[in-house]
Amino acid sequence: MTALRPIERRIRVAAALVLVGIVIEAVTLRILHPLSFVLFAALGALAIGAGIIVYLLALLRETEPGTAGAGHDGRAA
Amino acid sequence: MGIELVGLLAITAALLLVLLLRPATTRERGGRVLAFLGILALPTLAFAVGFNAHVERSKKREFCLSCHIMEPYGKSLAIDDDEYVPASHVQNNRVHRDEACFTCHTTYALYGDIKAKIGGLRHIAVNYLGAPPDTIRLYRPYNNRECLHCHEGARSFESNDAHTETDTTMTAIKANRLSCMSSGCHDLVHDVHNLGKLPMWKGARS
Repeated sequence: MTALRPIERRIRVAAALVLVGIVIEAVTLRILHPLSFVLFAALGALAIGAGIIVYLLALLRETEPGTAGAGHDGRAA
Repeated sequence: MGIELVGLLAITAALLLVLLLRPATTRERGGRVLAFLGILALPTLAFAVGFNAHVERSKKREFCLSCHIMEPYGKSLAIDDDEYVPASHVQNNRVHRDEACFTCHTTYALYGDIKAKIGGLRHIAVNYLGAPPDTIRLYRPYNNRECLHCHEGARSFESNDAHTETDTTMTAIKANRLSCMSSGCHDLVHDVHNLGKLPMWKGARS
């Protein structure tokens, strides 16, 4: 098993956060109660939003010149 | 929850699991497309569709009555007396039974539904973080606009003797200067404090 590159670790974190948000959405949509809406709009949105931000930051850092992980084939740009 | 939303959530979750368990797939072009879809595109779509589903569900009577404090208001819809406006509207299908609360308590104006939902969030804050009052009162006096949304133009409303009693009565009603709920008009509404003394319609759905 090869070691994960920094961008892959960040993508894993992003995927985990978005998955938490998606699970919250699925659970809250099963419960008809005002608090389920609040939970979805607060925690669900927060988790999905944070995951997307981590993903976009990972892409930005990957494409920054001079960063160790730059370039999709492992070479610096 | 619709089958489309279930499918969307399932596909998104499956893609996310692949990325979570095998992040190295993003070394290939296909994996990067997968990451874009799984982390950005599909979750954004799923959130938008889920938000819309939540808003639609919040119009349900069952949703409003799921809070303990609202139970008497739900029971008041079964009062067996035509003089009680909410009860007679529900029992005679003048409003959709499943959306009875929302139909009368939304605002029929620009962004009215959004304002109603923001008001709902305020209810939740008061209910869970504050002290709910013994008698729940509207934030503002009930606007005739909400009644006229359905009744304006209807023969039973336009030609009613009480509504045309004087030359100015109808104008005052339509301009919200004379409330539909003025004393002696349609002033009997939920009356939750006297529910035990009032007859209940047995045919009413619980």
